[in-house]
Amino acid sequence: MQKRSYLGTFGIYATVIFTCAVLLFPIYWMILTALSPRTQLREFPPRFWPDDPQWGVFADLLATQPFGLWMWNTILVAVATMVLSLTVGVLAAYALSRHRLRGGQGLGLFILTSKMLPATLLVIPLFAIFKSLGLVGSLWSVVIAQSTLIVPFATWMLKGYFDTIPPELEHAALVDGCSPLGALVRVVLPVAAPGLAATALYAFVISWSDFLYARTFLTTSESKWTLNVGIATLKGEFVTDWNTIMAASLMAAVPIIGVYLFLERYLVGGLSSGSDK
Amino acid sequence: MATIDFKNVQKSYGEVHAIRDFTLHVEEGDFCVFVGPSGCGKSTALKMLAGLEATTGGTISIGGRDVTDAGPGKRDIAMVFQNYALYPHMSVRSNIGFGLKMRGQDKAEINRRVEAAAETLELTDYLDRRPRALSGGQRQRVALGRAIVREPSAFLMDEPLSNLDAKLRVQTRSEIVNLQKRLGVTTIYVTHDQVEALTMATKIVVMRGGVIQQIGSPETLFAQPANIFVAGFIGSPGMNFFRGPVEVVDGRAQTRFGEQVVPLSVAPDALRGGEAIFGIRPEHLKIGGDTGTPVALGLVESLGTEKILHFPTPEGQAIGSLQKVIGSDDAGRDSATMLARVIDDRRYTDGETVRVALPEGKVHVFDPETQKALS
Amino acid sequence: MIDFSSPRHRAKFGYLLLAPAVIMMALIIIYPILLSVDISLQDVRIARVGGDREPWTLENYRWLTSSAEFWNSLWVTAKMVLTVGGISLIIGLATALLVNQKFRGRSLARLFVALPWAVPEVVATVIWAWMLDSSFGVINWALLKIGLVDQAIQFGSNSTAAFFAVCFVMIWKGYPLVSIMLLAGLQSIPEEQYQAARVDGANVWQRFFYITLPSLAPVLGVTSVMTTLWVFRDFAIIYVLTQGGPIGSTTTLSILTFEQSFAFFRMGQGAAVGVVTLVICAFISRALVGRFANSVH
Ligand SMILES: Nc1ncnc2c1ncn2[C@@H]1O[C@H](COP(=O)(O)OP(=O)(O)O)[C@@H](O)[C@H]1O
Ligand SMILES: [Mg+2]
Repeated sequence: MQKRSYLGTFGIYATVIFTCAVLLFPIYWMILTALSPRTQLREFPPRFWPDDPQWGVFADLLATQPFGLWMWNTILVAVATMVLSLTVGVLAAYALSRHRLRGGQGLGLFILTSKMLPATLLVIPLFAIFKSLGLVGSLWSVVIAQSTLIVPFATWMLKGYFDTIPPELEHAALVDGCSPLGALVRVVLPVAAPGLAATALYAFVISWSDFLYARTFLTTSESKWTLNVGIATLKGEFVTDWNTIMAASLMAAVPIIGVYLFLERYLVGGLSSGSDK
Repeated sequence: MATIDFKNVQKSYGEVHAIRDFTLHVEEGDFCVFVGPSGCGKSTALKMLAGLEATTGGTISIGGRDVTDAGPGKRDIAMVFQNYALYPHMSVRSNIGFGLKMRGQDKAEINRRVEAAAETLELTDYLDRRPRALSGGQRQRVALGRAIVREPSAFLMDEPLSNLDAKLRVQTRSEIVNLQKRLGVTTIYVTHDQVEALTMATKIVVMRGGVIQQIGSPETLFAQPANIFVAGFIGSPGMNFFRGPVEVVDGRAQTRFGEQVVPLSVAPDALRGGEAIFGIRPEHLKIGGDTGTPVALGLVESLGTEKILHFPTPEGQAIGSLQKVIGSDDAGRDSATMLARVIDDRRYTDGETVRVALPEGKVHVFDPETQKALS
Repeated sequence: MIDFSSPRHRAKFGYLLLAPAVIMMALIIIYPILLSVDISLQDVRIARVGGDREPWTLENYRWLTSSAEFWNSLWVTAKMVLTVGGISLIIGLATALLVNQKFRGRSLARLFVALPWAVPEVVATVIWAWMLDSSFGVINWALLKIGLVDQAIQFGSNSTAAFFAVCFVMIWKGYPLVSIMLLAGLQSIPEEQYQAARVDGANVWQRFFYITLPSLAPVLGVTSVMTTLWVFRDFAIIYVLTQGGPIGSTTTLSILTFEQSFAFFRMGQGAAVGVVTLVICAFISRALVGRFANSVH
């Protein structure tokens, strides 16, 4: 490797810092607005530093809106979706990766294409189905609807990951006396942990971000809303109440950003299916 | 300890027949080596014995018990893999003890046996490390430890040495043999390296294209190869072949090698037709005497006192396209070149003309049609 | 009880593992798709499963081809795909190249670059809605301050401005994933190739055009199709920011589908739009599937 000049190094840092600053500015702006007194938001020029942070805004939010409930619903939906998709996805991906199954190739192809289905199309028949099953208004409707996207996605990602694990590993486990399921649980899954983490992150992020399904299936009762439905409604109702809306957004963003920060290290590896190991 | 029996075992992957009519009996305590070129079905045979692949036909028994449909964990076997297949998320201790744990042994007993196995394999200091933190040789020993700790009735090993460097390979070879002798456990060992087979086995199974070519002790395979393939595969370098006329003089069969008349120890009626294929091992050729056929040396490879001399097969006697000679070390040797292995103090130079003689009784005769040995 | 460890039954174990996924796909993807085709062929306002059904008719598709709304949304979608896809790919590649450099704090930079991806779409959209606010938004303030405009831009009522506002949010939200995927692609290019090229005297640009771009071509292809489909699919950003307005300037096929079905309760027509979208997406994704077919075994 040739040594970079000081100028080159400076250029790289300057570009990196500029890029990050531009990318992260909206997030900073969200935090700043959430903490600003409402009157300040109508000042021109705007202030770029919270000289008088208003922490009470969060308490107000919890008091005036069923915000805690929305948060809880969102968590329930995201966790249920993640657990369901990961379970179904792990089993299917492992079977596709290890067993030469008749029809396996067709299924693999199907999984790939189903990632491209327009959700707004699916939402119509799903609505009809849930209506007849009495599931409209239940959090389960959102969990099931989201699985249409997340299960194929998880299966595809995990298969790529399982393909990088030598089959001798579970052969050894079988010889050592494990059942096939035991070999999967005791040997393959621990080895595939980074891939599982990356997939879980995807599932969680996609699910936490859902608006369409929640907006369509859960509108009837405010107590069933998820955060995204709540925030979108707040925006429609209180057009000028930006500090409240930003406070709500901040609280919706913090958990998922936390999950992201914790699992990001697996992201690049998971995407290239562990090929850079 | 147990006998192992394959009876007419078949394996096909769709149209591909990986194993045909595999029948083999292995005695208790035998060290049996499956050897053959890559892709000949050795691993497939071993995996069927382990229960990792289903058979397409036939039966497999271990210790007289039919295990054809038993799961790998129910066959009382242990296996060592080429890539070792150590569990990367477990310590060496857990790796070795995993099989015992799965069989429900209590903790103290597992610990005792793991430590005893570690002692044997000099792994005691590494028991709490992860496989990642071990050298190649140490990983290999952990894989062995995982096998011996269970005291199974058979060891199955699939090319366990091929990931080691040459020196360590030779050393570990004898360690495995000694370990096996001491434990007396029936062992099936797969390798593509005929030197490993000759040095380790009590019984060798030579395979090619999914078919057993010959079963026998190292000595038998060396002295009485059943066909051209085995003759060429076993030995380093493998046997030389040439085509020659069959003449009968005074009721005795003979052939010619260049100018030399070579008497054969085969009864004349075994030889059909006017021609046969003949084989002679490089170390049996007599070089530099007064009799024999003069040849011009093409290349001299010197390994100190031992030398490998290359010279052209006499005019018109190359076996040509009949079959590519599958040398074990030099896959696909040029059939128009013969090799002689000599150990003496004479200096040989490229281009020099020397006489090559074929001693009586060392010449193998093969049927040109079936390629089988005639005797 | 079948012993699945037996070599005879191992394949059955595979099918057993696959069963939940297959059943689930059949119930929540295949059946709904068939059902949506069925709905698109009926003149229904609110679709139901079972009970009375309308006779099959091509009425909805006839409406579709003669409707200015449909052609407009097709045009809006195409414009948006090109704008968002093109810009995301270019700055995504630039960012990937940047964070693929060796410098201290690189992993932190990567962490920040991909952060917007994790922000929920609705949250991203309301932040931008506030920043783009026509009276007190920071962006209008900045534009006025630099003198780029002499009057605040009305992102809510100006068609062109609204369209670009949507594109902005989509790029901010979508391009981090593009750069992460391209980064993964970059990291799989062996360093030796660059060293060999350097030995041969290739300069930075030659290395980029002769090694980086060709090696990255498959990933670029996949990424652009993914971005395209994402724009096709997206609902939340447009719906929350503009609701498709003003006067249809941000109504994509996706929004039109939803609007017909759940705002006007003409699910037959909505489903028809959706089915057409699906067909278009299928054509686009053929490129991707073709590329991937080999790696699926
Ligand atoms: N899963 C499989 N599908 C199809 N063919 C296979 C499979 N596994 C092995 N084979 C074929 O069976 C033959 C024997 O393979 P193997 O037993 O691995 O050979 P080796 O003697 O090198 O260990 C090879 O020709 C190989 O191509
Ligand atoms: Mg093999």
